Amino acid sequence: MTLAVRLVGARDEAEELVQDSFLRAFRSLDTFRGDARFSTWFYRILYNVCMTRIQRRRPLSTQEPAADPANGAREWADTEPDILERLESEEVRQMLMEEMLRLPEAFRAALTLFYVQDLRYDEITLVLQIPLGTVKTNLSRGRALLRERVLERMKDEVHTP
Amino acid sequence: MNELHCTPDELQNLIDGGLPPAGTGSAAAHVRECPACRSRYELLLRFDRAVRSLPLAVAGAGFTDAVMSRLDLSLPAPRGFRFVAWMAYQAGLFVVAAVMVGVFMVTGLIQPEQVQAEKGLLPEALGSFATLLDAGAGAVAGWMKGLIPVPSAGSQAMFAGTAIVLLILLLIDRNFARKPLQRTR
Repeated sequence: MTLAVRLVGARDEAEELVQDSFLRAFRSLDTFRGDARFSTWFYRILYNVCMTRIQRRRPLSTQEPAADPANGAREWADTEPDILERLESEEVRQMLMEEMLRLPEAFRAALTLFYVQDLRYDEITLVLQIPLGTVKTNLSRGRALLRERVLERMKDEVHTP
Repeated sequence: MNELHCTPDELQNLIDGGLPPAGTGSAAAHVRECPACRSRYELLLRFDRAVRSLPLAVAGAGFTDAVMSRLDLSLPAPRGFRFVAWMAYQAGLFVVAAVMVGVFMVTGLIQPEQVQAEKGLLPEALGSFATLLDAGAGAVAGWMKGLIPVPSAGSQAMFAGTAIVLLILLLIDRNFARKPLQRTR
């Protein structure tokens, strides 16, 4: 459910897509070969269903460009001790959630599968059907972009009177 | 790791446990001794924890029921039951076809004499097909005479008409009626 919500954003729509995925999985049970865990196989179906919906509602011309995190060094430069403390606050969790939903889908999917569904790299390659190197790149760039955006907002809030 | 500090990827791999054992040892040792790398490591670690602790989306209360109600339509029945259901379905179609032909005959839309003469019932475009069908129906009717008496031309017309209507119903069913179910796949 979390994967669908993170991918499509709207909770109702996500629930409908999860339902569709369950039905699809049920009807395709005979194609499950047991090469991977059942959950991995199911996530793959769910991911495909969600991406089909996303692509249908978005015209090709407005495809999101692959966002590139700015120089990661910036995020290291002035890490203040209180930022580390604030990272565990409810306010920052809210920021993280919002920024997670603003990430490009490729990053969002990789991060969700890694952090929420606890999938290994090789399992993520099966779900997303992309090479291992791309999974690692997407994870790394997704984390960097997320950190950068959240740190920016945290700093803005500190400097806003 | 460069000469001075760990790279962000190395630090992240250290957190994920993705560094080879030798690399893990040296990176971990460096992080312990280098305040800059330690602070970066700490930042990444806290971020990781924060991302992992984000609330999960939980399906609504009626979710399971909703899925199950949709599954009921497609639950595969036991093989024996499926055969019986299939037979009942075909028999139902046959009855419908027979009733339709009966109605046509009673209302005069089908004239047994026309069927016998192989004219007037079917469009000319399907002439050859109709001839074949009529011949087949006649042959089956002739064979059935041995088992069940089928003496009249009306009975033969009824039989041929039923076969044709049944065939049409089956074609309609196969091509249209089952499409919506397939589309949901």
